[in-house]
Parts: sequence; structure tokens; C-alpha cells
Amino acid sequence: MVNYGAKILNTASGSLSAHQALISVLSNNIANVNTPGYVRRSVSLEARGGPSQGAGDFGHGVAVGPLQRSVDGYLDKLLREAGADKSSFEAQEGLLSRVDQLFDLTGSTSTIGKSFTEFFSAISDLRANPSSIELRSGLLNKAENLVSSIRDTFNGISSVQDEADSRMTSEVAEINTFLDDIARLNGVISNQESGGTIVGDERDQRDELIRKVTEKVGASVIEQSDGSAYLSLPGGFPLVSGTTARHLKVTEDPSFTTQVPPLLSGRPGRYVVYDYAQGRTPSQDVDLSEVIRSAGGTLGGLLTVRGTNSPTSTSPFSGTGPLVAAASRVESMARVLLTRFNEVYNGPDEDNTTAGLQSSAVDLDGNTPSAFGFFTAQLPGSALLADSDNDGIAELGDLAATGEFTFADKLSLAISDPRSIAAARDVDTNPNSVVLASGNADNLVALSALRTEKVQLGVVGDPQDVSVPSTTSMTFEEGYQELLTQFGGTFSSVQFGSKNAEARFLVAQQRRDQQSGVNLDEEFTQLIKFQQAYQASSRLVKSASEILDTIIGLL
Amino acid sequence: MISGGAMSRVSTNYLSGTLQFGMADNRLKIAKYTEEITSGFKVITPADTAQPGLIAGLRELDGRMQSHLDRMKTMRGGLEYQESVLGESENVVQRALELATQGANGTYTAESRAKMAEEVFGLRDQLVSLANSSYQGTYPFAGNQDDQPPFTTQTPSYTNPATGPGSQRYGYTTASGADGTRSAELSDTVSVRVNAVGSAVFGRAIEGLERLGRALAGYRTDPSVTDPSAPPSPDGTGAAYTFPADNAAQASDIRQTIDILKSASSTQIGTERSSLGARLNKLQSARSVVEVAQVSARESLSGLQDADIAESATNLSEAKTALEATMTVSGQVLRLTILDYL
Repeated sequence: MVNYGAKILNTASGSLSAHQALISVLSNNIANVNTPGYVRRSVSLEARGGPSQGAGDFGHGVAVGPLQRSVDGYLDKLLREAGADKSSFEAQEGLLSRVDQLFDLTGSTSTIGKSFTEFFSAISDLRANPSSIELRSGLLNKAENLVSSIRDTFNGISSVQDEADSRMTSEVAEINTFLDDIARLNGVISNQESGGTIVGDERDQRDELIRKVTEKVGASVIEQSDGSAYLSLPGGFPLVSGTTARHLKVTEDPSFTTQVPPLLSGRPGRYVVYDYAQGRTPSQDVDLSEVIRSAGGTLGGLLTVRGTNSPTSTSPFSGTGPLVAAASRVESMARVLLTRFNEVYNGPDEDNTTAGLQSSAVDLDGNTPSAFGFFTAQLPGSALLADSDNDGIAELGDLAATGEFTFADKLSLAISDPRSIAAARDVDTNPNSVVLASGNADNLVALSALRTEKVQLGVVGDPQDVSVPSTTSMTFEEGYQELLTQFGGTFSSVQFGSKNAEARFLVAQQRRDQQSGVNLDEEFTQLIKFQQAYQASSRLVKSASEILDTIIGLL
Repeated sequence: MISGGAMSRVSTNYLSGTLQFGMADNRLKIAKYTEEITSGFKVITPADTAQPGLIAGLRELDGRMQSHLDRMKTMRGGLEYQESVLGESENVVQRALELATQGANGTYTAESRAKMAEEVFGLRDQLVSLANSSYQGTYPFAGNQDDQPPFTTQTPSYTNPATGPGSQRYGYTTASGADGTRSAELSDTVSVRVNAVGSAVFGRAIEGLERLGRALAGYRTDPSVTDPSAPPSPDGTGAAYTFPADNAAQASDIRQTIDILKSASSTQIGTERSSLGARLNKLQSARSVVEVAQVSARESLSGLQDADIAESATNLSEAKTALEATMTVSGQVLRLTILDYL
């Protein structure tokens, strides 16, 4: 006689534990409905196998199959890529919007364009009555506004560049922490899965970490046969391989160059590198700037905006990026004021015999200005710009002789006393004497013409050599308008890209969620189903127990 | 918003995510349209427009035109002032001509002529002070040496007579720059002269009055004048007439001053007056041109930059409605849970 009582008991108890397991999986899904990156788990039921017992064999009950995660590697990849794009654009948009604020178009703030126009209007006003102290003070006031607007705009741009640069350090620190955790989880996963089971929690954690890493730097991910994730940058540079994480390093002092090119503010521009020496000295750094810039992610966005510069260059203006482009135009404007404006302000040579230019401009007290007599620059150590070759002319060579590369942040007025404005031209040709006419405005007439003169703006000339001018000439106003148009265009593209990236991210997220997200309705419906099966199975146990009791009762 | 084919399954978080995104999006729109209404602008920075260069250019143009208009107001005041000074100067010269005509008539006695001389010297002093007028701290008839009165007494003064108004010899300053003038801008393309070389305006008239006064008072003035259109300046010499032998000489000298004064009136004062008239006309037409340019720039700016309040208000209302709808839907949909039915 076959002992069906025991069989029924076995089957029922097997069903109880199987359905308990199912409910446990469901409860895990429900508990993790809001966990970021959680992948819905499921477990399949299989008929339990066992040796056949011939004609009386009606089956062995139910068993639980392996745990499964509803994951689609391709959808995950799409989500990561969309996340990297979105983060990159967000970083760029945030930084560039601060520069956008510097170019107000409503006329309510003192932008470079507005203060330039007002400065030249003040020159025209003074022409009508050159000895008027009130009009002279007005001109100095407008000149001061022009100087401030150029300095403030340049400093505004350079401070955004500095911020992008310093944020890189904190981003890389976070990336390195995540890489370490991923490497550790790689170890856990490959160990535990060698027996054939899937470790859901560790995989979820690792996927989430990978997602966070790719938001910061657009790495690509491949799963290896042992279950570990292999992360690498474009171009094949590995970040995590098995249980080894390779840290990125941000440094002002990489081993491949002795002098790091400066940023616009003069601070050294940091490099993102990989150090093959891994902490031993001497370092063996490899420059990853270009790789990371093209990889995207937050770090890529920061580098795109900050710009990258060749390690052999000495000028901030040889860097790439929209900040350097805009600052370069502002710098050209400062250099034109320092050279061409000062040159015209000094007037033509008084005589053709004495070497160098003898200024023919004269102020209300009969004094003539120096070479940098109207606009000058405050150099480090409180020195001012000087005529280095003593030829009486303000030239780019004199700027180059200071060894500095940026002058827009140092621009200032050489005059503080309204009487010192040289509105007049000396009428005699003797450089040793001055013939002063208080109502002469010939110098102002020449200065007025500069408003519409085509000057060497373009971008900064040869960035490595301050004495080389820009080859493109345009008027100041044209230069300012072109700056606005170019920057506006760049920023608009970034904004547009950002909106698109956000939309793509949402689509990618939705598609991934479609596959991997938890739906409470589904889970609870399943719960009812399994609960009923559990209740039915427990009733079976009772029946089997009664059968066995009856049999025992017979003994 | 979300496209991409048929959805086969929706996770619980998808719905809340979408609704959150929708609400955030609507709130951004509300902020944007509110700012348009409160600031009056829909374009504030280069990010808001495809033509930031054009807008900046129009704004600079507007500012520059305004400064031209403001400057023209001041310049007009100055030019009109000079015009009124010349008008009065003309009256002075006319009165002198009347006296000269009477004085050349031989029926007047020496005493009467002495009295006329007194009046003529008074007119001379009046004309000198007109020539030395100042306007807002500078002397418009001093050429470019405009911080000093242009006409001063010269030394040596006349030796005959040794004292009294007849001995004062006025001349134009020789300071360098007094022989030059300057121009100021009315607009981007037009400028006008704003001052004058005083000797070319008053020189002959003052000299004529001095000669007339001296002749009426009984004194010659050397160098004597042969061509009134280009008289050499008096050099301070000139003896007294002896009467009755010099009666004819005196009458002839007086008649000569009539020629000088007439020449002064037409070729010096008169010429400068017409020039001022022409310059004021130029100013008037420059003003019209600048005003038109400014209005045109402002209209373009308005079209490119100003918010259409009605449009922004409508958009704001729509965004608010959309937000309210999204919130209502969120409230209803997010509350739907199977747990209520289990």
C-alpha cells in the first residue's frame, strides 16, 4: 500500500514553504517600491522533481526556482547614457547662466556696451565746453564705469571658470569612493554567484553605484562572465576591473609638465589624471582631460565649460571652451583701451627731431600725459603700466614686458583729477614749451573718432605672446555685439540640449521602469493569489494530518 | 511629452514621477510669465533671444541719440545767447552811426562834439563788455582762449589824450588759441562751431567807435585808415587837431569811421549773425533727424524686447490652469491604491 498520507503531507508542506518564499519575494518588492535603482524580483514555481514510483505516482509537489531580476541590460545602458548627458548639460547650463547674467539687455545695469556708449557721449559733451570742471568730472565718472564694467565682466567669467575647476575635485573624490564600492561588490557578487544563485541586493546596489558614477563621468559598463562589472572610459581606460578600482586624480602639479597653464584668474588649472605610479613617487601621470571631456557626465560638462589647455602653454587664452572665448573678447577690449586709446590720447609727436613720441596733448594746467596717461593697469605689487621701451607710445610690447597675460582684470584709470584730462592739443611744436588754450578740444575730437574706428579686437591675438595683436578688426560696438551673439548662441544650444537630454532621460527611465519597476497593484494581486494557495495548502496539511491520525488510530 | 511607442507596463513610481515633472514644468512657466509681467520685458539676457547683438546695438543707439538731444539743448542755449549779444551789438553800432553822421555835419560846435564823444565812448565801453560776455563760465568770443575776457586795454594806451576814456585803447588778446575755434557734435555726423574769434566779430566796430570818439573829442588816430575793409590797428599815436585849420580833416576822419562802422556791421557782426542763424537751423534739423532715429530704435526695441502684457497674462493664466489640473489629477490618481479594496 502506498503511504499517500505522508505524500500528501510532503506535498502540502512543500507547497507551504514554496508559497511562503513567493510571498517573501513579493514583500521584498513591496518594501522596495521606492528604493532607487531597485529591480523587481520574481521567483518561478516548478513542479518538484523526484524518482518516479510507477503507476501510483501523481507528482511530488512544487518547488521554488531560482531568483530572477527583471533587468534588461540594454535599457539600463540607455538610462545610464541619458543620465550622463542630462548631468553634463545641467552642469554646463548652471555655470553658463551665471555668465549670461553679466550681459543684461534691458539697460538697467552698467554692462560693457552701455558704459562704453556713455563714455563716448561724455567725450562729445566735453568737446562743447572743455574747460568745464563739471563736464570733466562727468567724463571721469563714465570712464570709471567703463573700467569697472570691463573688470567686473572679466572677473565674473573667471570666477565661473574657477568654480568649475574646483568642483572637479569634489566630483572626482565621490567618483573614487563609488569605484571602490563597485570593486568590492564585484568581489562579493562573483564569490556568491559562483554557486549559481543571483545575489539581488548586491547587484541592485552595484547598479545604483554604476548609475551614480556614469552621471558624473560617462563610463561604459560590460558585465563579465564571473558577474563582475567592468567599467571603462572611452578609449579603453579601465576604471573598475574585477576587484580593482583605479582612482582618478585631480592635480595642479602633474608629472607631465613643470608649469600648469593658468586659468583666467591666474590660479593654476587642474588636470584630471591617472597616476600609474599609484601613490609612489615619482608620479607617472597621464592626462585624461580630453577623454573625460568627451565622455560626458557632470565632470565632462565641467571640463567643457572650464575648457582644457595644452600643458605646454603659458596663457589662459589658449584654453578651449565658451568661458575662455568670451573672456578673450573682453581682454581684447581692455588691450585696445590700453594701447590705441592711450596712443590717440597722447596726440601726434610734438617734433620730429627728438627720439620717441613727445606728447602734444595738454591738460588744464599745462601738463602732458604719460604714455599710459588715461587707461592703465594695476599690476601685482601696486605698480602701474609703464612705457618699457621709453618710446612714448603705449604698445602691446609694453604690456608683454610685464610678464602678465590678463589685463582686463587689472584695468584702471590713470587720472583722478578732472583738471588732468588732456582735452587740448599744444599748438606750438617745441616739446619744451606748452601753449595752453583752455577752450581747445582738439584731443577730444581725435578721441571721439575712436568710437567708430576699426580696432584690433577679434579674440586675443597670439595667446602665448601678449605683444601680438588680434588680426581681426572691428569697432568696439561691433565687438561687444558679436560677443553677445556668440555667447548667446552657445548658451542657447546648451539650454536646448539640456531640455532634450531631460526628455530623453525621462523616456529612458520610463522604459527601464516598465521592465524593472515595481507596480504595487501587481504585487498585491499576486499576494492575494499566493495567500489563497497558502491557505489551501495549510488546509491540506490538516487533511493529511487527519488521514495519518486515522491510520495511526487503527493501529 | 513622453512618447516612444506603446507602454506595456507602468511602475508605481512612473506615475508620480510624470506628475511631478508636469507640476515642476508648469511652475517654471508661471515664474517665467510672472517675471515678464513684472519686469515688462520678455528678453532680459542673451539666453532669451536669437538676436542679442541687435538688441544691444539698438539700446546703445537709443542712449547715444538721447545724449545728442541733451547736448543740443545746452548748445542751443549758448548759440541763442551769442545771437542776442550780437543783436544788441548791432544796435550799438547803429546808434554810433547816427552820431557819426551828425558829427560829420559841420554845423556842430566843439562843445556839442565833445558831448557826442562822451556818448560814443560810452557806446564803445558797452560794445567791449558785450564782446567780453561770458556764458556758463567761459567767454564765447575769445576763441579757444576762453577762460579770459578777449578784449582788454592795451599798453601803451593813447598818448593823446593822456587820461580819460579817449586814452583807453582796446585790443583783442594775443594769447595763443584765441585765434582758433572749436566745434561740437550735434549728431553722429553733424557738428557746428560753438565759439568765435572775437577780433573777427567786434574788432572793426570797437576800433571804429574809438576813432569816432577820439575824432569827436578832437584827436587824430594813427595809423590812419585808407581801406576800411582792412584797417591796421591803431598804435596809440595821434595828435590833437588844431582848429580852425583841421576842421576839414576832422570831418573827413569822422566820415571815415562811418565807413568802418558800416563795414563792421555788415562784414563782421552781420556775417557772424547769419552764421549763428544758419547754425541754429542746422541744430534744429539735426534734432529732428536724431529724434526720428531714436523713435525708430525704440520702436524696434519694443517689438524685440518688450513683453506683451496681455499675451503674458494669458500664458500665465493657462499655466496656472494647467498646474491646477495637474495637481487635481495627482491628488486623485496617486490616491488610487488597490489596498483600499483589499
